[in-house]
Amino acid sequence: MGKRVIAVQANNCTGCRMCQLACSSTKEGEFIPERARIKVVFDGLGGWSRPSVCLQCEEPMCLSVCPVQAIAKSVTATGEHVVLVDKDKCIGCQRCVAACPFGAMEFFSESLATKCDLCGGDPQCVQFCFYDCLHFVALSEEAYDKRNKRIKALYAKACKEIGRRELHGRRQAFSLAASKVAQRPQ
Amino acid sequence: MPPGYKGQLLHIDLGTESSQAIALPEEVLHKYIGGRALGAKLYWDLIPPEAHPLGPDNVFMVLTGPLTGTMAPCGCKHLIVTKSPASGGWLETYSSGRIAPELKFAGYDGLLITGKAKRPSLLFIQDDKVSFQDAGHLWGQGSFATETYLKQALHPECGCLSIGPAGENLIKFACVGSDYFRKAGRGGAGAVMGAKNLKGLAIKGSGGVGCADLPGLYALIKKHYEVYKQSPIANARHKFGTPLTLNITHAAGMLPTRNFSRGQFEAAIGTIDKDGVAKATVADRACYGCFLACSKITQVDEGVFAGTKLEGPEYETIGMLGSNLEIDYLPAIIKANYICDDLGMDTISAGVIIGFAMECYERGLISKRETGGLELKFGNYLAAVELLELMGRKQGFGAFCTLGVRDMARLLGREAETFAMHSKGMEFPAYDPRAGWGSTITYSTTPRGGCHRRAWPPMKEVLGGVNPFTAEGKAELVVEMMNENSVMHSLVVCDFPGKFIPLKNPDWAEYLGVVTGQKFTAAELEQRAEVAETLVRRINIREGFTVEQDRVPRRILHEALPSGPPEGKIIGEENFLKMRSAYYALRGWDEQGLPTPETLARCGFEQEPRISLEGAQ
Repeated sequence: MGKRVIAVQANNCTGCRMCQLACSSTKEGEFIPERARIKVVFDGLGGWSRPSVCLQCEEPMCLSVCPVQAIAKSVTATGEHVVLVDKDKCIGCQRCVAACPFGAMEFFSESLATKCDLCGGDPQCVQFCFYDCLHFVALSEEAYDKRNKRIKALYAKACKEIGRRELHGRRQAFSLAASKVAQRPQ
Repeated sequence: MPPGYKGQLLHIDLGTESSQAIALPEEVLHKYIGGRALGAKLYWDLIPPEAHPLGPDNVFMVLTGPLTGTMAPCGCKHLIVTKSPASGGWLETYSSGRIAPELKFAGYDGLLITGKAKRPSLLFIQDDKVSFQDAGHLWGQGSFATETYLKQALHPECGCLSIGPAGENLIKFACVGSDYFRKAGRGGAGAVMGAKNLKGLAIKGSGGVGCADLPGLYALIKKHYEVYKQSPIANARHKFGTPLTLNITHAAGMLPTRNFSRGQFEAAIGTIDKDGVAKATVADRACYGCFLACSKITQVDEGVFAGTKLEGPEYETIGMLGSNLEIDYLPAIIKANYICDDLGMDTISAGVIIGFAMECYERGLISKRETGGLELKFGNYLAAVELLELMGRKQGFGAFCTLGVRDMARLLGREAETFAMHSKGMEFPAYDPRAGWGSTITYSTTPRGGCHRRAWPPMKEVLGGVNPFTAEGKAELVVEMMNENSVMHSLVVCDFPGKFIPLKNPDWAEYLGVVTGQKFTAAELEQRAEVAETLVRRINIREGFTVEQDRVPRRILHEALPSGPPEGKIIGEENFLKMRSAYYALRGWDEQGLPTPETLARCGFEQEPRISLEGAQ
């Protein structure tokens, strides 16, 4: 079995936000979408929405800017590549928040830098996505490499364009492209 | 306070631009659950009989329930409770969108708005911070522009409510919009906002909603999702959305056509029905926390209305602005829906009013000079679209139409009154009661007027094998369905999972249990429905309603439909009175529809704390 990643079929998103509710209740013990690690970006008048979640980059920008090495690449219990924040090391400088071009790193005063940890290999957002939008899929070596190349190309582009966009603006701008880095294998 | 509740309401006085949290006693929440039942309690305690619907004393309430903001299926709805500009009595009107969950995240079970702002205003609520802003630059603009501004001003992910020009013009069927295409449509709640000079409000909360038993809730949702997957009717609902209903009502002879003079519209099939809408559909949308996704984004690609795109049209809109006007051109219905959404008008009432005006025009009761040159014939969709614009802006012949069919008919004379399709001043929805007699009970007795939300008898009379053309057993059927809805509307969940999965009182008791940690039985929920129905009845009696207003128009009782299953069948006065009396009796009300002393004692209204704007007493 290849490496598993969260794959997003953006055009299947209906805007129900079950992913945010599942994420926040799993991680925070209550329904608090504001604290969800996955966000849903909306255009109400345009009639579309799509989820925006950490891509678990192989060369994460958040990791490279952290001054205290609180962010590290790791492996979940089930063998997936994941980028994790060590709460004990984090000093709350928020450089990682500024660095992630996709707006996937959040900062909360209690938990400091906070991001998706794939729920240790069983992402609850995927469990509760009833519309075939979020998938947790195994990619072949080849597909995984292709995904990484796409991510790199995308964040090179994103870094140039983000300017000073705040988190929501980043998600709005790059969530569609981010959803295309890995398609669900047919 | 049990998880699921915040235990407080936010009271905002627009006159003094002040705000204050009001605690809700736990025993009141336990008795009334939330939403509709709690709204009845608050209406009884807070809105004095002498308050005019458009006066500063009327309270505009936005309420949620214990499941709101959680993952429980479709706990996405809010309801607005206020005194109705259409009927002068109880009004509840429901919609979806972000406003309800955001209200909970901000820390409140509901919002009470009183007074009148000195100038057109916007209201912003961010957790415990409340602020006001001048809305002069938005006055006269549509709902869409207002909501776009609110999202820019507060937060792109906020929940908001807005009115269009119809609400500003105090039109009796002005709706309250949220998330652009979601409308609390019925009864003129938009006019109450307009009268308070409140153009819009936006809420963003950063808190959460607790849950007593998260694994229990997850398990219930997964279980019911599997049930839903096996339910053909629920899957059809997901695939086609509410337009599917048109095919059902057409076949049943229940589809209002030519102002309720026919019950079938052949031209609708393949054009404005499930297949017609499916052709125009570009995406599915779901409300917050819903796995049915019955909402459809449609767009018009060619013709005079090309470029129009919206979420909808729903069945009621297609029925009232389509078949009821003999319009079989879907782009015109989409355009009409868009105009109603932006100007802030209820599509149901607007459709019934235009249908009524068209019949008056064709009968010669209204002349072309009076319509300002509009050729108001059935099927003339350009005239219908133009008239909608005039109505929303209260101009020309449109201004006359904003009176609603009851008052238009009073001015036009006795002949017109026989086909003015309303009850208590609120126009009928898109189910002809002659094709399913149970609806005569709901339309006549429901507290806000002609309304399909208290009970939906076609579920049994068309889809459930019950004989539609008899008075026998209809009161029992309606009471059972009304009580189910009463519970769902107090939890404030959508009707559709209840009807189509289906989730019934034992299921809702489970959801309430895992979220709040309180143990309820289905029977206890049933009791709460009785309390709510009786209290709302009391409210309308206090507002001056009598048995005389529990009526349906003459056309429904004495004219037969010309085709389909109901062909030639006449309900008649006797059958109607029999059903109504049986309904009162089952409710524990007397022949005049007044709750008996025993019923009142059973409900225990005297022993509970009173809520006042200063807090509980």
